[in-house]
Amino acid sequence: MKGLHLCNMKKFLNHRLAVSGAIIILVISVFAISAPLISPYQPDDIAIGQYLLAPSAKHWMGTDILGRDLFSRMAYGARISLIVGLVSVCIAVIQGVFFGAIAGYYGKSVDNIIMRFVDIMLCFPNIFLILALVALLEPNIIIIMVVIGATSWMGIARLVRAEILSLKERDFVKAARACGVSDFKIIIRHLVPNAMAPVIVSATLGVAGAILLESSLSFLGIGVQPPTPSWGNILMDAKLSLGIAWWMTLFPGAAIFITVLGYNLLGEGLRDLLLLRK
Amino acid sequence: MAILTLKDITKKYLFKNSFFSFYSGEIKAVDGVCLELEEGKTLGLVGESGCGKSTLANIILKLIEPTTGEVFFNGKEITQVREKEFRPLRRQIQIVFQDPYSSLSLRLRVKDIIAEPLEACLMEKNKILERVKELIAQVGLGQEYLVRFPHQLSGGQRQRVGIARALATSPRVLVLDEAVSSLDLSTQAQIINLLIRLQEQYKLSYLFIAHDLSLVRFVSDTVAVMYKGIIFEKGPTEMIYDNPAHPYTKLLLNSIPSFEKSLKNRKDRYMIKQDFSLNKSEKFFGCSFYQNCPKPMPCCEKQMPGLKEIGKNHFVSCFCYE
Repeated sequence: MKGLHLCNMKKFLNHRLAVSGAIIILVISVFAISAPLISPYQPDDIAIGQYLLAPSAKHWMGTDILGRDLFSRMAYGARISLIVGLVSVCIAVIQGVFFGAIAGYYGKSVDNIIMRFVDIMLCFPNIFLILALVALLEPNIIIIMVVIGATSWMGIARLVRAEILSLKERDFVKAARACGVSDFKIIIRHLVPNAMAPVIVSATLGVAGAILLESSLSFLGIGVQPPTPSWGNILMDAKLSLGIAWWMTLFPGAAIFITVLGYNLLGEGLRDLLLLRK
Repeated sequence: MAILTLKDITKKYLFKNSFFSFYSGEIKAVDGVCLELEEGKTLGLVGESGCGKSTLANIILKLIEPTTGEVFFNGKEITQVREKEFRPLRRQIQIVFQDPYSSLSLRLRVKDIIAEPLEACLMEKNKILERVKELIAQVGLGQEYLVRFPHQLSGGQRQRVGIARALATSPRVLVLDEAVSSLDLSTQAQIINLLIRLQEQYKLSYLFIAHDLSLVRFVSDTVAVMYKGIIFEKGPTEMIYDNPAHPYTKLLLNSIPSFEKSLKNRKDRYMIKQDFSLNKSEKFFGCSFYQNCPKPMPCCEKQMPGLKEIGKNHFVSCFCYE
């Protein structure tokens, strides 16, 4: 039986992949949350004459082309990248669960309309759709989160719809209908909670995708706008000094890689625990 | 007066053979069923798997709409009533399902499961918990079960929770859709005794759907025999069991496993041919039981026999009695 009873904490702790993913995410999150405490400089403090210094005791990750401390920028950038990842996935989950639940429960033409709309959305190459939207709207962090969320809910809608199609034929739903429970309450109380397991897995994996997407957008210069640091636009700055300052590309690249790896490991682990369990 | 009357209920399902064909036939899951359930009595409905018993239960609860026919509850026609207006009546007709593992939501605690119908009929919040405690005691479970989740209960305990939920709104008609079939014998006996006790206490009317014939004989006042969506015989329990008229009823009763019978005449026991094709061929207008009948007559092939009264309240649908 699929279930979310995370009272199976023991099972989770015995799953090495999931635990290592969780630890990576925890470390990165602590790094991001404690940014003001651990960073020795302000992220946009410019030290004149100290540009492109290699990592040293004074600047742990070196400085960039304007003489800003890279470690401080990385710490503040982590906040932006993680928040964008989490919030945009939340938006995607809310939207996906809403449309998926309605399509699955009401079926027939409602289902048809919503699922064809999903098919249309899936036809767009994601990044170009976002490019077009961001070009129309002013790129700021909120727009970025909404746009990423609004272009990645389709997979979740499909998952939820499929789950609900099978759940709504179950006897406990019939019993609720026989008691006169309203459609809305049946969806909220009975169907959605029972359909959440695959959504949680897909959302965890989705955070990794969203962080990558934000980084690529910022790298292209249409994501988070400087001087606000994000891992993506630190990489963009590194483009200018690619041959001479290896630290400028290594650290943000590694940070993105490790974070994405962490979410993917956790997601795969949760999949094992929640979906493939007998 | 009968509390529940079914008049000529038919439910057809269309089916497609392939993606590209528009329409390729229909299945009559329930075909012209007429039944009456007296207040405080039990009507047993027997028949093999897939003969339309559960479809009939769903129609009574207005979970699906019949293609044609009428259901009268307490003299009021309910199939045409809109959902909104029907909601107050819903509390009076409740159902207990066969599979206790799929009839309870895994995410809710027992107290929330039992409280759900009460919340749906807008009972005051402070009274709900009291009523839930009363119900759980009635079905013979301790108060400590209220905070458990369904996965912490055994099959029998789950079924009791299902019964408690069905009783919550003090219904007048309870549809027991194979409510004890999936339980072991000792638990079955407990649940049956519980149901009989509740019936005496609250003057409940049961529609008892089952395929265990000896159990049906034990609990029912009247029995209806269903085959391929059609009621072939109905009447008072004793009459049906002592003096079965229709060949299908005889066959069913014959197939009750019994020690003496199995020694005596194992060989000449007539076995039914497994045939799940239902009424696919539309050209065949004859008796649905024709292919399996031990004594088919020429007229059986042309026409479906109507229900005929052969004893007091004893109806049968067979040309042998025309």
